[in-house]
Amino acid sequence: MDVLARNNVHVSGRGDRGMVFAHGFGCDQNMWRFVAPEFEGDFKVVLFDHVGAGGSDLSSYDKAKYSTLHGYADDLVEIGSALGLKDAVFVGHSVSAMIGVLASLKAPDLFGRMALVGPSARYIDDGDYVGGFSEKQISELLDFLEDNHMGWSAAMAPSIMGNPDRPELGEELTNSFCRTDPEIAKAFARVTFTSDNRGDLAKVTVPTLILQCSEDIIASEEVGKFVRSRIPGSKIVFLKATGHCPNLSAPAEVISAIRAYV
Amino acid sequence: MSELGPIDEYRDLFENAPCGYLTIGSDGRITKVNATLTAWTGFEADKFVGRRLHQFLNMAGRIYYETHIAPLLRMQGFFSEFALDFETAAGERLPVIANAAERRDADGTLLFTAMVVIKATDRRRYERQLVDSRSELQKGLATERETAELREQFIAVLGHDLRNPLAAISAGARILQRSGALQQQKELRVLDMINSTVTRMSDLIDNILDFARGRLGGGITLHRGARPLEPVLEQVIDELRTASPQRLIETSFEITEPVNCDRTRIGQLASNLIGNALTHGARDQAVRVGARTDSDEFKLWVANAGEPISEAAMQRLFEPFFRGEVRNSRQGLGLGLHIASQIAQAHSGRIDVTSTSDETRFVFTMPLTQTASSGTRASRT
Amino acid sequence: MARSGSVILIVEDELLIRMDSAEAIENAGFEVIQAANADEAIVILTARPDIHVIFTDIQMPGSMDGLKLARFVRDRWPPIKIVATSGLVPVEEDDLPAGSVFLPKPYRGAEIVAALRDLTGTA
Repeated sequence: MDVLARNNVHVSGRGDRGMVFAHGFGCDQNMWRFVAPEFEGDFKVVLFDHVGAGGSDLSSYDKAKYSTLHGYADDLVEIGSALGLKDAVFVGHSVSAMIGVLASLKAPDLFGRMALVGPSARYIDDGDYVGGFSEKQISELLDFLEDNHMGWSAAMAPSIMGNPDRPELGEELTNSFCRTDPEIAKAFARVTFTSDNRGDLAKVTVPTLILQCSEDIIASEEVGKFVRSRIPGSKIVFLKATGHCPNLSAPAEVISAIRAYV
Repeated sequence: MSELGPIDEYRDLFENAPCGYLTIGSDGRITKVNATLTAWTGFEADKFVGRRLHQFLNMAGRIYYETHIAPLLRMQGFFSEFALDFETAAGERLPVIANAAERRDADGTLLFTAMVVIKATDRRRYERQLVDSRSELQKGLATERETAELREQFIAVLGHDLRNPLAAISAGARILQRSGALQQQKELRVLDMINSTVTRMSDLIDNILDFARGRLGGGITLHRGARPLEPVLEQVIDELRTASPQRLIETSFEITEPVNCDRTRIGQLASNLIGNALTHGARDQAVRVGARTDSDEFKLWVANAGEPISEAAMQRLFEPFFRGEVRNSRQGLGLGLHIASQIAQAHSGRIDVTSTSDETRFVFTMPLTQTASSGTRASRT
Repeated sequence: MARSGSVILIVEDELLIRMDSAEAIENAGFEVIQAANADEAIVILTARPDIHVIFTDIQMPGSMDGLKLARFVRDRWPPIKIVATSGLVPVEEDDLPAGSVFLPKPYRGAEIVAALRDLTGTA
C-alpha cells in the first residue's frame, strides 16, 4: 500500500524545507491544527497519522511490527523518503518525540532540527530514574482504556457516522478528530508507556529543542530535563502552558518557541 | 408552591441535582462544584476549588484526561460519554460517566468548561462484563477453530493411513496379474475380486470420512479443474462392472464442453448413484448411465428398472443412514445418496429423482459457469 | 524391451506400491532404481549421477518427507526433474520446486508413465 495513503499524509505550504509534525498518543494529526498552519508560509508542512489513528489505513496495522516504537519510526522514515525530505524540521509530541529520535538515528539525513514537545524517554520509574509512573499504574491504565472502549465507540466512532439508519447521529457526532481503533489504541498505549529509549538519546546528532510544560503529569519537568541532559547539544524551553498538550491549550507559545528555533 | 425565590430555585437545582456538576476555569482550575459531587466524593467544595481536575482522578484517569479528554475538548469543544474514575476521600474508586463542554465568548475566548458527572458503578460493571464476555467468546472461537483444524488434520491423516494399505493390496494384485504366473480363469477372477473389493472398501472410507467431515462442520472441499470427465466416469463404471460381472451397464456420454468440477468427487457421486441402481434395480435389466453438456449445464443420469421407490422413502432418500426397505443383506451404511447430494450442492447443482413402475431415474445437474457467489458457496458445503 | 535410457528413482515407503509402480515404469522402457525413504534416496543420488527423474511419495517416515526431499534435490542437483505424489490434501503449487509435477494418489500406471514421458521428452 502506498505510504502516503497508509499514513494519511497531508502536505501543504509554500516553503522548500520540510517540517514534519508527529502527533502523540491519544490523538491524530488534527492536534496540530492551531500550530501547523502558522508555518505554511515558510515550510513544506507535512502532517500524518500513525497507523491505527485518525485516517490511517487500519488494515496496515501489524501487531508484530508495531510492538515497539521502531515500527512507527520506520514508517516515519518511509514517509520522509517518499516525499524526498532532507534536513527537514521534525516536531514531535509526546511519544512521537522518541519516535522522531529513533527515525533520526535510522536516517541521519532526514532531519536537520528537532523540536520535541513533552518528551519522555521512559515513563515507568526505574531505580533513581523518575519516569512518573509505577508499573501498577500503567497496567491500571490499560485496564481503564478497556473501560473506555465503550465510551470511545460512542464519542469517537466514525462507524456510527454515516449510518443510513440513524442520520441524526451524523450531525451529533461532528467529531472527526482523534479517531482510533480501540484495540490498536490499547496496543499503542502499552508500547508507549512501557517504552525505554534512554539509551538512544546520547546517539542523537541532530540539534534538538525540548519544549517542556508546567504541571505535565505525563512528562514532568524532571523527565524533560533528563532528555535534555542526554541529547548532546540540546536545549530546553519551559513553557508557561500547563498540561500535556500545549499545542492545543497554548498554541501561540508553542509557535513562537518553535519559530525561534528554526 | 416553592418557598425559594427563582435564583435560589436554580441554585438548588444545581447543588442538589441527581448528577455531579463541575466547572473548570480557563486556567484549568476548578471554580465550582455542586453538593452532589462533594457528597459522592467526600471532599468539601473548598477542597475542589482552585485545584485541577486530574488531582481527583486515579492515575489512569489522569493520563486519559490529558491525552484524550483535554485535547478533544480543545478541538471540538465538547466530549461526551467518557468514563472516569474519581478517587474519593475514603480512597475508594468512584466510576462515573461524564460529559464536558466548553463555553466560549463571541470572540472565541474560553470562559470555562462545564462537566456533568453521573455515577455509573452498575453501568460500568455491566460494560466491563460485556467486554470480558466478548473476549471470552473470541477466545472460545479461536479454540473452536483450532479444534476444527485438528479434527480436519486427523481425518486427513486417518484417510491416508486407511487408504495406503488398500493401495498396497491393489498394487500387489496388479503385480501378480502382470507376472503371468496365474493362468487359470478362477485365479484371474480372484485377482479381479481383490481389486473390486479394494475399490468397495475405498469408496466406503471415502463416504465415512466425508460424512465425518461434514458432520463436524468441515464440509466438502472441492478441488476443481477442467480435465476430461469421461475417463473418470469410464473408470468408475469399469470397476463396478468388474465387481458385478453378471450385470449390464449401458453408457451414453456426450460431454462436448469442459466441465469445471472436482473430477474425483463427480466420480464418487456417479459411483454412489450407479451402485445404488445396481443394488435396488431389477437384476435382469440394464442400468443406464448417461452424461452430457447442454445449454450451460452438465447432466449426469442413472436409470434402472424395477420396483419404484415408495412415497415415504422419497422424502428421506438423501438423509444420512437412510437405507430404505431392506431387500438383501448387502445394504451398506446408507451414506451414498447423502454424500452424493452434498457433492451436488458443493458444485451448486442438485439431484432430482423420479420413480415409476417403468423406471427409477436419478439426475444430477450442475451449471457449467459459476457466478462469483455460487462459486464460493460451492467450494465449502 | 528397448531401454529409453532415462533413469527414474522411485521413493516410496509402502513396498507393494513401490514394486507395482516400478514394474509399470520399467515396462514403459525406463530404468528404475528404488528407495524406501529420503535417506536411501540421497545415498543413491550421491552415488549415481545419471538419474533423470525422481518420483517420490510425500508422506514418508525418516528424516525428510517428500517435500523436503524435493527441495533438497532441486538445491543440490538442479537438472533432476521431480514428480511428487500423495494421498493427502493436495499440495499447493508453491510447496514444490518450480517445474515439478504433482500426481494425486491413487494414480494409475498409465498416468505415471505419461508424466515421466513428458518430463524426459520421450514419446
